[in-house]
Amino acid sequence: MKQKTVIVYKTEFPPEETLFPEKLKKVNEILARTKMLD
Amino acid sequence: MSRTPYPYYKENGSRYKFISSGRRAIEKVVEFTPTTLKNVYNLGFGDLLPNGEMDDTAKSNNGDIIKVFATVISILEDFTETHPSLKIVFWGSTLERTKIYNRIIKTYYQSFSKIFVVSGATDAKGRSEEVIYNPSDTCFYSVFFVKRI
Repeated sequence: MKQKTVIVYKTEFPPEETLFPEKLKKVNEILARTKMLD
Repeated sequence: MSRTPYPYYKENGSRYKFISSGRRAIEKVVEFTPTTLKNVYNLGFGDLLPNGEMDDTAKSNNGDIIKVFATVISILEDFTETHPSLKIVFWGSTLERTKIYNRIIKTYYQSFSKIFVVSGATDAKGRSEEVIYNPSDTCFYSVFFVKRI
């Protein structure tokens, strides 16, 4: 039986970490009290 | 924006880097990360410090602000071209930066609105509501949202 080589590229999307954790925390706070259009 | 952007490279599917070559060379990072709202991603933007940490409040004074923002817009276009269903939220880490974003959106709204639906939210008495951006309005937006048309 032939073996198949599968190459998996790490695209990191969606990202698992952020370089801006504080900003993300604050934006989540803003979004939590924002009435969105859709 | 008409100003030519700096060349940038994609570190991965959601992080981009470029060098601001004004008075000195400063490495800049633009990053898109998911928020708690489905399909809404935060745009993070800052300077990569020599110690490896990020600073998104830095006042670089590098003399190339227009070119730097033209690059950020170019990156935003690239990312949303790949992910057109995502809505991107951005706001300034400081009041001064948020004022700059308000000025940029107002100035370049004609070209932005050709590819993005632009909306914003104002913070009043702790409550916030997203509204479609109106360039003739004088209100101050705390955050902006863009989504591909």
